[in-house]
Amino acid sequence: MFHKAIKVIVVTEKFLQDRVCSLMESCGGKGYTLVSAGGKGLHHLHATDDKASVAEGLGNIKIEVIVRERSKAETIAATIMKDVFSEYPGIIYLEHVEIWREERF
Amino acid sequence: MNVLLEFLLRFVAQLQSPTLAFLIGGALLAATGSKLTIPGSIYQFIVFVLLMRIGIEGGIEIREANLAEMLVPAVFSVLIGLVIVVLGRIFFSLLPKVKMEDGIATAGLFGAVSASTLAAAIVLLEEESMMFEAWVPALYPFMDIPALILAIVLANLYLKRKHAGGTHPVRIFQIVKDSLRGAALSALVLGLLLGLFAQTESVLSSFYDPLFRGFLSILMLILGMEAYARAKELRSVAPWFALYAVVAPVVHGALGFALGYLAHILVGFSPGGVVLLSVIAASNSDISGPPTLRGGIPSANPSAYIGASTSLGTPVAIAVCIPLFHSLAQVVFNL
Repeated sequence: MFHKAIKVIVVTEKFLQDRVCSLMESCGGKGYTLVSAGGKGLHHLHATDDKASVAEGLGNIKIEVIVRERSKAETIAATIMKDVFSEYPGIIYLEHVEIWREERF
Repeated sequence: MNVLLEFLLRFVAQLQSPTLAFLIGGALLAATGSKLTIPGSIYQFIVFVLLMRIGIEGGIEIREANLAEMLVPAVFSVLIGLVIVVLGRIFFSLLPKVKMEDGIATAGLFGAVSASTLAAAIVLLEEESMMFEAWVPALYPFMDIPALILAIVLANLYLKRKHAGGTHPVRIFQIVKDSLRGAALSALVLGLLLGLFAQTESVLSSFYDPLFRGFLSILMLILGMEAYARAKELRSVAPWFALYAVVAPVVHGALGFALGYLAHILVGFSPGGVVLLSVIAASNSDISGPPTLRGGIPSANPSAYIGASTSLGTPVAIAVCIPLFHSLAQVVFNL
């Protein structure tokens, strides 16, 4: 059966991926999903991988982590805000999801 | 006067060379709003093949080379990388309305090296049969890494003074590691090692070499498209960055030429080597430098330094500096 859980989603620049993922894990996330991203932010359009970007690592990536407790989701978001997004651009939001195999989250 | 005339004639001829024509073609495509795009994965593959070809070719020839000859040009490369950053730091500190860390990051990127400009210069020298030592492409990291490190150190010193201690410690080893792990340098270094230690002649002549020029033309197309796209970002920062991006490659190339000429007198550095050293000095990092600076100087505005480098610096290095220093070498060395 499905169990209620919370997904924290971070969209940021690719070169920050390792930093964001290790913060997610150190705050209790047991894994994460990486998806190449693109779209429009406050300043300009960020192209997807369909279009080559000359500089390495400045494309966007969407990193998703699912946790069971809201408190853990809050810690993950607050830590990333403080340690990464105080200096770099990016967005964080959460979604309520339902999961099978809750022991994996 | 003769030098000027020869340069102008050469420049017009260069406009018809595939390298420059594709660069301009890419910019035209982007300007017309064309839907043609080249995927990121193909771009990465092209950079890999180009740098692997340069590396393997260099590695094979290094087997017979006397590497002690490399010492003086390598020391000069480090020196050029450092001097460029210091000059840039001074230039931007003299100007009003420039955020200092943007200026230092820009100087760092212009001190670092562009793999695509290097590849374009190698094609020209091969077409013109101007010989250069096989190890010259290996000078790349000697200029690239010190320039990036110095820019990050200077920016952090500046920010520390400004905010009294609110900055991060500079992790030099991490910067060296990041630079060597970048796509362009990893392929170049691996290629050098493969050429040096393995029997790579057949794969070079049957695969990497035939692809070299064709792939370079696609890379130039991508650079042209990106140059046009980034020009909008450059317009959002102070016009000084555009001025710097046009003038700095020529000044840096001249510095490279002067020190290359000195190496020619001291240790017999070849005329082709002098041209390549000038072009490496004139070039500005477009692939691996930006993420290193983004990591090391978070408060610097990437629109300033990437805009300056990609939209103007690289086209100037390719379109102006390569023919300029090539024709200068022909005059100076009586070729």
